[in-house]
Amino acid sequence: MNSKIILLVEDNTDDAMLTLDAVEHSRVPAHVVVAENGAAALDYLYCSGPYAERDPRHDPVLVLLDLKLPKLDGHEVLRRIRSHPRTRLLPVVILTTSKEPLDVSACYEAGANSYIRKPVDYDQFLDAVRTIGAYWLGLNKTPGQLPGH
Amino acid sequence: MTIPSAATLTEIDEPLDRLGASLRALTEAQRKELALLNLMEDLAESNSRLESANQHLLLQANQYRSLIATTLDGYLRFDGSGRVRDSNDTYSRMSGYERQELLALSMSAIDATFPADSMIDRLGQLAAAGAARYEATYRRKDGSTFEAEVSVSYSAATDEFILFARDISPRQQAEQEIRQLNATLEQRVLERTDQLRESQERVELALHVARAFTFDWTVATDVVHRSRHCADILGIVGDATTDTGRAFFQRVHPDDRERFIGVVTRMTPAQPHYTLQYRVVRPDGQIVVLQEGASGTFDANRQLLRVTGLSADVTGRVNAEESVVKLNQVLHRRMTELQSANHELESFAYSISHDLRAPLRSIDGFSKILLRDCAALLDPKHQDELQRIRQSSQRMGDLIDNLLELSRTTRADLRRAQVDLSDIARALLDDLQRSDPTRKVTTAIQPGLIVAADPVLLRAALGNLLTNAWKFTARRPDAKIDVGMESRDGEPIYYVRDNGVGFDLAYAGQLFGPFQRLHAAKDFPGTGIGLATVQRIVHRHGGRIWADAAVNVGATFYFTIGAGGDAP
Repeated sequence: MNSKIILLVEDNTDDAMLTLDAVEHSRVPAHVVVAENGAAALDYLYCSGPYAERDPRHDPVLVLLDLKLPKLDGHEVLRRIRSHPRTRLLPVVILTTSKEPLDVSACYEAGANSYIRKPVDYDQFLDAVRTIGAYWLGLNKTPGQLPGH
Repeated sequence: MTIPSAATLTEIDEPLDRLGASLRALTEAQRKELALLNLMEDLAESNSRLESANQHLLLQANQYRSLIATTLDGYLRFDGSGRVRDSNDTYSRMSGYERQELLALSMSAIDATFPADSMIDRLGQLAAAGAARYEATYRRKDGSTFEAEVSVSYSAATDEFILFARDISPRQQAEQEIRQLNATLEQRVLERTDQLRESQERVELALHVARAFTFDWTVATDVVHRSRHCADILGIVGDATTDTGRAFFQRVHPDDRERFIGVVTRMTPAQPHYTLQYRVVRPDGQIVVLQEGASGTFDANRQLLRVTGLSADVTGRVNAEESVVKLNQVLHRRMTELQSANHELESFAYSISHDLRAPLRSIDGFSKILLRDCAALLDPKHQDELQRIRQSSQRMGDLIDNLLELSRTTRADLRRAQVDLSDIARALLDDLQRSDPTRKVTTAIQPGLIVAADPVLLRAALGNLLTNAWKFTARRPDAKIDVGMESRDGEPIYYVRDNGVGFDLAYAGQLFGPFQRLHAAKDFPGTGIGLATVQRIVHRHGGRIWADAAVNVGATFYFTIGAGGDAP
């Protein structure tokens, strides 16, 4: 299993299913791991708890993060990702329902790389997922991928 | 010579008679001799007396002469015809004439009081009167004159007048000056009195306007004097300007008496002032709040003698302050309520934004997946039904979005700035043209419409109005949208005008209510929330909004941007 991993942090099963369907049908070359809450996401990222056995060399290349999550909400997850040296530079795309200006600005303040609002129209959602995949997994370069590293 | 007594006379009568006869014979000659002797003695004595009198006279004459020479009065002696016989140096100094020159003059040349030809008559009158004192005008040698106080006496024996003259010109001048000074002084006293009265009136007026009065309490007599307008403040009928401290103290509100006594008794020569706000109960029962400032006067024994001060009726102010405090409390409570309501609304909106849309996404998403993955299993009718499910969920998504926008226009802070309304309108119309490139719409935007408004909210309001105009002109080949400003009674009124389908003004009342739609959704899609949002934004700026329209002619939306803050 050498394909890139996308960590989807999403507590809504419907949304998770739809996102998985969208990733599959928009031919994003990645494997999606779903974390159902913030705590699980952090466990996955730092190979702890249920994910203690995960191979730390195979880290996700992108996090799709919902904001409204049980226990640890999206804002807190983002804050922890940014404050941890291991994930400090990991691309995090907020994928959520809200377009409250406060949410948007708070996420960018906390170091989100992008903020996408999930549209009701599934066709538009497919477009969005396709664009996200093409950009963050194709076009965009991260420090680890740059020559010399 | 011895004279015998009567008794002895009888006894010696005879011898005496004899002696007498012989004596009588002898005396005739002897008596003559004796008389001569006596006369000689008398003469010698008179002579000596004369001599001494003469000497005395000489002395006196010398004294007179030196008196005349040294007196500060001018001296003239002249005869019955007025010719000068003598003068002194003082008169020479006064008149400028040498003594020799004076001796050649007549009084008619000297005295300028009367015509020269009446001098003889004057002198006659003076001679008849014997002596006189009067003021006269005398000529100097240089032709000028001086005022003299004159004292004249006439000696009939010598038919001469002796005259003393005192130059009173300086005195008169001084008198004149004093008179003038007095007149000026009197005038100034009058003016000053007027000014004082005016200033007194002004003070009284000021006190009246300020609803204040002055007072003056003498401790020893307990008498209080107050200025005029205290009567209507204290509600005293009759003479309110005179009172006693004791009587006034009874007017002080019972609850304030202790404080009142306190400030008065705490005054010392070092701290002789107090200010106090206290209540007075008027005879009619009304309560007056007085703001008082006063100073005490003390004697050497540190005993309080007098208290003077000013009391102002601040009842209105105090009442107003109290009601302001009460109002503030109410306001504060309302604000807290509003804040918590706002807070609730915010979390409500947040929940809606997240939770209400999520199921819609599932409905639309899974319908789409069904349509995509099971197309072969579904007949066209079912496919159409699934399509309708998707459309409904998308429409509901729009409704939720618009409701949230409406709610945001209420919750967002209003931050005014100088905003170019023309620029915003231009940008919005350009966006509309880009999203709908086939439409041909003539737009006219009045340039330079600068308003003080919240840029975000103004953009949202204009966006709704222009989107409507764009939408409702869709069927016109000659679509036209105008944005401009006209001034009515000096107030700028902005408008967005289109020549679209318009509407019947009879329904204008429903225009700005949420979910109110005047057109069928199949003709012109919309949620019916846009104009409600526009109205809320305009109202939050303290402005007004109204519409003018006619079916198939077009619609114009007018609005003002108020200057105040959030309208209630």
